[in-house]
Amino acid sequence: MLTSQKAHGGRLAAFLLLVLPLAVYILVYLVPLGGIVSLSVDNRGLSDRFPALRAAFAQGGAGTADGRAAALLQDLAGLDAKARGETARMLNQEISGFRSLLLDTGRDAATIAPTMAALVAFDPRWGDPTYWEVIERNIPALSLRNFQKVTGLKTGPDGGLTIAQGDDIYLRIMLRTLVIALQVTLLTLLIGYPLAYAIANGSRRLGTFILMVVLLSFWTSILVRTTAWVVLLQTNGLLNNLLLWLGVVSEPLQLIFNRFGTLVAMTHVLLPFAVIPMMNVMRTIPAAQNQASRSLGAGGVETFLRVYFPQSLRGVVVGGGTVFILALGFYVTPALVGGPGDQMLSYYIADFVRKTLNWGMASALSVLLLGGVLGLLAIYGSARWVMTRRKEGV
Amino acid sequence: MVQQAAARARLINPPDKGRNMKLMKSTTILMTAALSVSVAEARDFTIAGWGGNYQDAQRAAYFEPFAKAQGLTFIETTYLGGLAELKTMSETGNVIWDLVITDGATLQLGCDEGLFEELDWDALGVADSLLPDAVTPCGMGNVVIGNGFAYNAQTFPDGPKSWADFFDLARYPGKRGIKNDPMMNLEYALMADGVPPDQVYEVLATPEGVDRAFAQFDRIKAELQYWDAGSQPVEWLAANNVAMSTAYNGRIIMAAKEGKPLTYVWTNQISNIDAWAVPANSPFKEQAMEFLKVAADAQNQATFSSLMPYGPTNVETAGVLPADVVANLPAGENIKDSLFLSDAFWIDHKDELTERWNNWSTQ
Amino acid sequence: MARSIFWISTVLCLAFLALPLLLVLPLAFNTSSFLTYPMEGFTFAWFGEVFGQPSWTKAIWNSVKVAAGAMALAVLIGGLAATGVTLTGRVLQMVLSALFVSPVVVPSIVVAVAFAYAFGRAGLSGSYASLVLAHAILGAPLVFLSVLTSLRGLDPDLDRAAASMGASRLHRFRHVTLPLAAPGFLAGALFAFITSFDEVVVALFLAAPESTTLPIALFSGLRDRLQPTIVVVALLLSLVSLLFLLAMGQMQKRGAAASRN
Repeated sequence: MLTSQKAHGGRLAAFLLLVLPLAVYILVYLVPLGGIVSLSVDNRGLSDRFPALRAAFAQGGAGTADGRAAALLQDLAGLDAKARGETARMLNQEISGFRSLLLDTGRDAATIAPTMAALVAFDPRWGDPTYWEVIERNIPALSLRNFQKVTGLKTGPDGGLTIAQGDDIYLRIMLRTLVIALQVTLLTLLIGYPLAYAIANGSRRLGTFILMVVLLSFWTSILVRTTAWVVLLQTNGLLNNLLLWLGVVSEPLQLIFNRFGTLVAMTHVLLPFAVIPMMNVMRTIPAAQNQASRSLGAGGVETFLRVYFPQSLRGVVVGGGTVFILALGFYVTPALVGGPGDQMLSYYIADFVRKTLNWGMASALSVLLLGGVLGLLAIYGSARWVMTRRKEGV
Repeated sequence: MVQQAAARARLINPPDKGRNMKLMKSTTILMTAALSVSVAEARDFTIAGWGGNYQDAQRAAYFEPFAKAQGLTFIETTYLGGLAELKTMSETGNVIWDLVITDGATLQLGCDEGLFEELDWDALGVADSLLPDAVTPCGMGNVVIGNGFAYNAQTFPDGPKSWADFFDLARYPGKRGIKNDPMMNLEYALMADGVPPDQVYEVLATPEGVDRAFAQFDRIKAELQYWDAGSQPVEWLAANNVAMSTAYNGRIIMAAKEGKPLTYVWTNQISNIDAWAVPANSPFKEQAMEFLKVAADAQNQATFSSLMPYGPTNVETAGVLPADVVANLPAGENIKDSLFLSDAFWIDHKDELTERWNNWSTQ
Repeated sequence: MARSIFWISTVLCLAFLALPLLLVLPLAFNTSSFLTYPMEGFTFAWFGEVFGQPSWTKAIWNSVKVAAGAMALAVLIGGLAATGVTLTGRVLQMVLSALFVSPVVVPSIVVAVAFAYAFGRAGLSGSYASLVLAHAILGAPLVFLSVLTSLRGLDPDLDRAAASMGASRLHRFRHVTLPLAAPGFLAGALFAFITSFDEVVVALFLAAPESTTLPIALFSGLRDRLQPTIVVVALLLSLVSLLFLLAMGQMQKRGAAASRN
């Protein structure tokens, strides 16, 4: 009885303590994230503006042509100028010229007779079925059109899925994002490994010194370190001037606004994230093993490769995984030191929001990026779980 | 027993309860304070401009005389283009700008969506003194901008003269700076390919025309370096990072005045008009209208053009300006073979062509 | 041979890590406006320019305000969450911990877009409040983790001893747990402050021109024009990081001394 009372008290205290943080997290964090997910399929911005057309299309067989024309005019007449402008902008994202077509028609909606013939007479483009197909696609409140655009998949005339040439832009960008993240991961591991090794196995003073540099770098803002690379890599910047002075090159090299600059700067920025986990693992490797191996006659290099390296792999995996996941979402560094061919998924998400107000596409791409990161974390988490289970089993 | 005692102690322990309440209270106060900081803040008249010496000249020619006449203080911010901020202001009702200078296409788009105040041209009474293109439902055209290309005269003593030269890597080797945006670039490419200015938009409206423009860029793609901000081409040209770059005439001419060896090419350049607009439901709407009168004034526009070599929209300004200033403006002889940017074309085609441009530039 | 491999690789990798900042930051004192060596002379003029320009000073002040607010809120929610989580069952603890830590792994652009949309709808966009709330969410996981670590490291016997002497739970929390976990709170607070102070992506999407923070000003300055003032600002930001690291080092030293006693 006493213990249950205690547990009850604990639960109450936990509840009281957790109420505020949970409320803030849910309101300020989970709800916005959920909002982005639903925004990627939410088409109410368009569908709510066409109630009559929705009814007309729901009648099956898409109703008669005149019925559709009448419904369109009825819906357009019901829109104020602002709503018409927004609708026109969104439809124009689907097909060029829809904007002026819709605005012109909307302005005169009251004066056009509610028949298809009158509509086509007002503007011959209404005779083109493509415009009607766009409307039909955008009438449901839920639509996968953003994801269709992201993947470039289109339903062909025969009903099968096809990818039109040039429509695979976002697939290519996703592939590029993965490739850059992978390249950066490999580079950070390659450069980070000796550093982690020196911290764990060098003299005390050397280890402390390197650790200080790593930590300082870790806590220096990404933007500051990117700034340093912009200054270094400019066409007439430090590095080029040094190379010219040394006579290595006769004219400045292009080091910035390309893949080289992007990889170098990202590697530098992410290096501490690789070093710290590797260092933590390496510190747990007993030095006695190395001594034993050497006393058995193995050389330094052989001892390292056969005894030390396999044990440090766990740190390599953790460090590499961290860097890879962080690299996937990078925005600032590629935006400042890369060219258009080096931008990653984040850049296009930002572009859609800032330049074209296309929240639907921005959220569809965000969902993909978020899904990718969470998927990787899940794989990573389950791998660790399996590994600990196996260890316990043994 | 012990726990029971503890539980009892907990029940009959008022100081703790009081402290708890205090903690809750201060938490609530903190949260409320954090949330209300911005909402209640009264603000100054706010003007959003393109920054740089463009905005410096506007400050001297318009902002300061206006603030003095109205007896108000103003603050300035930088506008990055597009409608994102304006859309937010309209949706949240928190209108933080009172004036913004923007390009024709954005103005039209925003006007259609009700993001700008409609102007009462009769009340303003300045329509007759302005170029017809400067008078639109939501904006007052204020500045004529020249968009062309420039080169470093030290690199090319016998400089390039036309868009065909800009795309000619054999005769003029070296990197080319262009804006990472299809608008104007596609027009430049067609003119380089021999399309006369008055037919550019006809050709660009066809799929073959678009292909033709992209084909021009394909030829020089390896040498391209893309800029975002108008100050970049000037920096790059002066530092010899690029051999030629598309640029705004004002920035280049200002740099040349400072002694940098840069030359702007007027041939077949593109003119466009930047216009002032008032974000919808600005609390300073009345004052903003007064500002428009100040900005439309011929003498004030002359002050602006002599500080920053962009053209006036007041038809009487040219008469007030000295000849050496006019020689650097997108006006008169300089624009005899110019193309005027078609806002109508870009409003319809921007989404599609930007997608194609991105697809092309990222490959 | 192994030794020379060790030294060569260590020196090269360390140079890659350390040299960029070591080479670039001194240019803040260069008389020339060109960002390259050799330095023409030594000057503080560029510092004067930064501190004389309202656009920079306002950004500095904004950054401090936002970071302080975000820190306070992050300590509150992160600290409450960590203490609350220690009192829950094993499964719930895992689920809640994952939730409270998760903002760290969500790519910042996704958080930025989500915040921008949600705050826009709530009528908060461009306000300090939106920046403070967003940065508090980014800082809270760090507070949560450091407080949780310090609570876990506590000797449960101490709490039990206090309880056996009849101390109430709240009393015990205030007089036993909290003082011992204080370093965790303090470290978490520093983490939250520096996270907000350096944050650029979320701020880019949320800040209005009036609430522009230092990293945003640096970001747009970098795109606009490369000049020594940029390096001055980078140097200032690095100094803040250095101070932060020194403070952490001090705290660790004190913590170690305290645990020895």
